[in-house]
Amino acid sequence: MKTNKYRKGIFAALLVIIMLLVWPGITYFSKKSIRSISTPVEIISSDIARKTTSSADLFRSFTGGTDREKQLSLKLVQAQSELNRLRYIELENKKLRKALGFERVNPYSLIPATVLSRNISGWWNTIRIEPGANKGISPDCAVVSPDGLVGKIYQVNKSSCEVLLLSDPTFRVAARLTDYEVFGIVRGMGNSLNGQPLVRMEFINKNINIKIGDEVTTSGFMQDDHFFPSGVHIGYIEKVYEDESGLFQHAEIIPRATSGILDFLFIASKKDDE
Amino acid sequence: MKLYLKLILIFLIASMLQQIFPKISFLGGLKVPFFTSIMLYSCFRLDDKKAWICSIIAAFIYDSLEPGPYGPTLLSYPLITFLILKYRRNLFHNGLITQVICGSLSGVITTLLAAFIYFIADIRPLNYLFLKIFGSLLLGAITFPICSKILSEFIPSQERGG
Repeated sequence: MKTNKYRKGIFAALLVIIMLLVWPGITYFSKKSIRSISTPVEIISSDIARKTTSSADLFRSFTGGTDREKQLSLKLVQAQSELNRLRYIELENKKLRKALGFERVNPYSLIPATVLSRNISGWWNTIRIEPGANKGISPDCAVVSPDGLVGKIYQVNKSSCEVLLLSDPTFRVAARLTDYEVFGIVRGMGNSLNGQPLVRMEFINKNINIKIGDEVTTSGFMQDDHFFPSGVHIGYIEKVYEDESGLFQHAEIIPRATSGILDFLFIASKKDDE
Repeated sequence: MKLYLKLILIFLIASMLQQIFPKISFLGGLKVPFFTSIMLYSCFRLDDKKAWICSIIAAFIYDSLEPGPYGPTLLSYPLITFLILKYRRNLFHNGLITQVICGSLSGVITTLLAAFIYFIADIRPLNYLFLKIFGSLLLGAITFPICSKILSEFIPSQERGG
């Protein structure tokens, strides 16, 4: 009698597994539910991780991180002076636009996001960030950091969402070489054995003479509800190859933006009409 | 009930640790298998029914936290549970050698089944597959004995080992 009950239990479990494997509706619902339950715990744990790392950084500053800090300070000062120069140019630009009667165009709004966790298995290059459907986030929105493009929204849960990182092999985005106005597709190629993200730009016009260090930015996309901002920095060209077909060339890119647990990210979404 | 609450708490902590820890790049980007080790421990130490419940719930949580389809652990964890429950009376589960071998084998089974699912679904490239298999063997062999030692303080054995 007990064995019979035990077998029934195993049969029911197998049935649930099969349903999860073949029925997309159940898969979607159950994944969303589990992630919504785990989000509060993830918020606490990422907060602890952030505070622990901050304490470790404080300790490092006493033991040997001072040189690095000095270099970073120098870079900060240089960036600050560049920023000031750009501010002056923007001010001048504003005055000229006003004089000509143009309005300033700011095409998208940025929603701040906190990194909760990384992918659990290591097979995917994804992270989970905090705002979700409750803040109006939808799939395919761009995720950016002050350094440039980090990835795009892949799946949205109630109060969190999965971000497909730039280096993930399923990541694709339309891009352009800023200096030439030449377009192509940027795709992730995974990570190297030393952990560096590998990114490639494909289908570049073969007649263009690309130089190492050329900047790659997003080319942008807007149709109905789908929106991806243009001009977001992706990285710099590292190596250029001719395509096997001989019709195009492709290039390896060094992406600049990082997506660690300490990074502050932003979700770019279409600005509502005022 | 107290046992299940303990297990849920342990699995939550394990999932947080596994998600926060970075990938090990030189082992093909794998992560430290805390989750698999806890599932393996429960298979060795709990009675058949509890071991099955634990295994299926662990697989369900793990695959829910993955962006891909259900499958990689939902197939491998029950398979590991079946094998452990079948042979555990002949195994000395407190022995380090048994733990090292079982930890590494379950790591390899999990990696191979994940690779198989991703290959047939065509959603992941199988880069560094041999390195991943070697990595899962190594990480499983190291993590399971350590987790087993820690968990024995919280979850006492309900089964007699061989």
